[in-house]
Amino acid sequence: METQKIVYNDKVVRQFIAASVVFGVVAMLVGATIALQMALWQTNLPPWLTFGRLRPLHTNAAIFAFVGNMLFAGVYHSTQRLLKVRLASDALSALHFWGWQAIIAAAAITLPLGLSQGKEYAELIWPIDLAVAVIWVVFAINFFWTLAKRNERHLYVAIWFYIATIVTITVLYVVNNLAIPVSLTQSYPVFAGVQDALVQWWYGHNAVAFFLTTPILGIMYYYLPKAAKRPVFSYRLSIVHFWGLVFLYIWAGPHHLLNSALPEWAQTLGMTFSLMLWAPSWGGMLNGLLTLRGAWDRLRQDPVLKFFAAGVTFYGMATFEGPLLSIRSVNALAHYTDWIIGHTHGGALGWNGFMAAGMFYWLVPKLYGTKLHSRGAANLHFYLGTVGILVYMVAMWSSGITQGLMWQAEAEGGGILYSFTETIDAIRPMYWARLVGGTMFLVGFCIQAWNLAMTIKGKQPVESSVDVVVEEKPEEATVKEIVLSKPVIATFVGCVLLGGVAIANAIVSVVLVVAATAVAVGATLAMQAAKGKREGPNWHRLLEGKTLIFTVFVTVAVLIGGAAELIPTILIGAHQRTTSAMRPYTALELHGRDVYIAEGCYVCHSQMIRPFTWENARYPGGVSSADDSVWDHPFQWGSKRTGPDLARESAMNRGPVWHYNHMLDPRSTSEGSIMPAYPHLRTQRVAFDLTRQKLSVMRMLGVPYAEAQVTGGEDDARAQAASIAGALASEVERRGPPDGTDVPLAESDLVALIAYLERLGRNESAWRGRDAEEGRTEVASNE
Amino acid sequence: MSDVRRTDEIQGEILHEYDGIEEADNRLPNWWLATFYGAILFGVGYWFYYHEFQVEPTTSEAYAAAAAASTEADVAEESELLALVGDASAITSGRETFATTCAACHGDRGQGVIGPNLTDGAWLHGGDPVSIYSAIRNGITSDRARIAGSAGMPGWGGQLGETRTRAVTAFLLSIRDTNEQGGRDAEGDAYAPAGAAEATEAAEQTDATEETEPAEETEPAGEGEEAEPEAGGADEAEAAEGDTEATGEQDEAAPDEG
Repeated sequence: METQKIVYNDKVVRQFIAASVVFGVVAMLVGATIALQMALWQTNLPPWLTFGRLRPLHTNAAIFAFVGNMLFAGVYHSTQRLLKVRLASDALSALHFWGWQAIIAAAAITLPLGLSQGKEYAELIWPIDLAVAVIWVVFAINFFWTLAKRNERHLYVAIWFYIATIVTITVLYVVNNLAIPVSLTQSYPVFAGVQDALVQWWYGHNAVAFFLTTPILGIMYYYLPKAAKRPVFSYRLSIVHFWGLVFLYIWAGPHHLLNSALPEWAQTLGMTFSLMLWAPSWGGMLNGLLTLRGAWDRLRQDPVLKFFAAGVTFYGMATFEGPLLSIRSVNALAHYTDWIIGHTHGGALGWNGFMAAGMFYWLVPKLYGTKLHSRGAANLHFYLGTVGILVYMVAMWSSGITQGLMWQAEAEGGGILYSFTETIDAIRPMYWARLVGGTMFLVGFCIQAWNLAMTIKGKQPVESSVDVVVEEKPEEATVKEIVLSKPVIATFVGCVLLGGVAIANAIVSVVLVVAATAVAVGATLAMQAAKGKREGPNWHRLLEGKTLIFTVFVTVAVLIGGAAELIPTILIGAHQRTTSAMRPYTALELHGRDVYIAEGCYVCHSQMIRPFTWENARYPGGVSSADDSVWDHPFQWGSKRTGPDLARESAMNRGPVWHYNHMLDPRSTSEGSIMPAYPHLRTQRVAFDLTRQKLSVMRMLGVPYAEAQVTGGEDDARAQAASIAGALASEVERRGPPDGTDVPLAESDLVALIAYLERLGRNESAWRGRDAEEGRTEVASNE
Repeated sequence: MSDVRRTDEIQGEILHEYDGIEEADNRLPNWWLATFYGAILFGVGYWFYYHEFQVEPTTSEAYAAAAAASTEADVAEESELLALVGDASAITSGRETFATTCAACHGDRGQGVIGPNLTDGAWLHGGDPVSIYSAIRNGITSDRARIAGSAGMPGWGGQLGETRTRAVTAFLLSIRDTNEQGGRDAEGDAYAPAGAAEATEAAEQTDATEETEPAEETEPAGEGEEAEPEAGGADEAEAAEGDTEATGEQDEAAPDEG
């Protein structure tokens, strides 16, 4: 037996913490800015600083810069100590840190420039996506290499969550960003319409799950018992809620697409799995809160425990609200409203923000061998933050429920009671309240940044080490013993039986479910019976000693849900594309669509009219079908209606003049609108040099353009632009020429956008200029 | 680090220890288990209820059925609309709706701004009560607008509902031919409310420049409107084109030439 001294690499931990604090301030500052822009549209500063471009910057900064850097710090710090080993490679650690900061810098430049993929939380353009993938792989190698060198046989529950994070984010990020480049800064995703929507929300939902939740749960499992100096409540609860979360979370993505054109079976899976997620999520909360048993009295003095207790409580609230919002009928009210914004911020500020604060206040003094500069300031941060979150959430709840109910309100004698702008007027006070709440949280966060800076001021980093006994231990179990075991076989048989429900008829399905239940109950009883007889560690304990098998099992658990939902939907989509009568976009409409994406129109406008009478009354032309977006690479269904739905914009018969005036001065056509003006679209040139490339990429993706349409695309686009400019000529004259531009109207992005908006929602009958309603009217008037 | 045997007075037996973190093994609370199993049962039940046995229609199925049932439901008769003109409460309601919904384009008195003057007795899309009603209810599509040389208009039937749509129609019938001062110039063709609908239609058919909606069997005639031949041509070209043709250019080209 020899003893070895292990010196931990805490440099990278300190770096990630500093970056997280700095980018946390930035992310929240941008958040407060866009909150102000909602309350006061005049604070939009086109072209670079409009809500449409800043909102992606806010979400990406909060998720990937603030929480990303925080979780890397926590993972690297706790993993070394839980495994009694230094990070495998200092070089990879440094590459990880600097690479990630370079990605953030690139995002901060490109997003305000309007360079975007047009998918929420996946806006970063393809070269940055590639960089993210590379740096993530660097992280993965560094992490698993560290695991391989560990001086601790068994993996603690925190490590399980880190493994799930790394594996799942890799899969999600790669699949959702599969795209064909058009230029250095633009690409079209390989999926379209319904398929792209499902892939996007499989990613979007699970980015929340595996970037904002699982790594933070791992961090909770390390830092909360450390700070509380209390034993973790329950090992078996860790096992149940870990596997429950990892397996169930992936299925829940479609709850973002309830009542949409997504096939109903997938919607049902999204809803029911979200409900099943409630208990496993609360398992994490329980294990956090009940670990504090015996330490509750210390909450009064210790700001760290305050933040952890509140953070875990907010996690419990958010994971109760999530399943609630996933119920179809609740979602019908809440979807597209601010309620969802309140929900996400309960998680982001309450869970992520407070867990980060608890970790920073506990860890930073230790990394510098000192005490926290000011406990009072940390307490002030806590109270400002808590009240701020509550103000924010209550404002968004009332705003969301108010607007949701107003959208549905039916007038006496039929029709709808409130115009869209009336619903905006009603919630404007809530936008100011939200700004107040968010600003309080930001001020608290800035106090934290000051407090941490004062803590380390003049202090030297402390080198931390541990002495470990290096000894060869015999293997506990072989791979075969772990894989060919009762739990694995029972789970496999149960899953196969349940999978049969997808293809069997109703009666057979009942039999299959009963059989699967019998297998589950039987296996549980068998394992309970064996428990008393057998000596030595149980099956899961053996698994915890085997990194590779553990990782494989996590991967399989994660892939099942994604495959079950994505593969059938993609196959259906492939068939639909061969039978669809939907015409592809003209070359100019495609340009206009890219303008729509670049300006981030989708963050405020949905393109998905749901099957409710009040929706169809407000948005005439029929509810949305899967066919409407069949050629949409990417889909633009959106998730929020700060402005009206645009799926059937063409059915509003507004004409180019209306759109021209509306884009240059929204309030000239829509009194009470809070949309920013887009004067730069008039002076920005259409990228006609890319027309052919855009069309040919679309063609490569299976959009049915003829060869001649691709080669003649630029001429077609110019001709259509000239015709729209012609229709606008008298109005342009009336308004007077725009200042200081030599860009002809027919070459401006504005005309391309008008072409796209005038096309939105046209179906085959609309093209023939004779929709069913008109036909009815003609018959009626002849009677 | 290793398996340890110690008992904490609150958390009970300690199973493991990692870097000083002890791990107890309390059993799962019953209410938590009930929530978990309950949600799974509910999920299975929901699936069988809606998808396997289809006891009730899903949201979109229910909507489709309701929409099919309500098709053709509300189409106003001329006599009903004319009767409403004498109904003071309908006129008041129509005036209020007009002020909030229509005035932005047609002026506060109906004198016309972006949209045409509604008080001058000339009509682009037909001046008989049912044509006015259907224009409000269903809107004026860009194709129809192009033929008439007008702007398009959203269909308001869904937003206003049947009662208010009829009330606005009645209000418009009450202000036609009042020739508001300072209004937009007359567009379209004069319509004389000459009594019965039959007489109106007869007049329409003899009047070569009549711009009311063509009947199903009569194709838009080429005469009387400059933009019409081109527009008609574009229509035909579109109809002849395959699904894969992108025809926006031709679509938009017509008014330009007109």
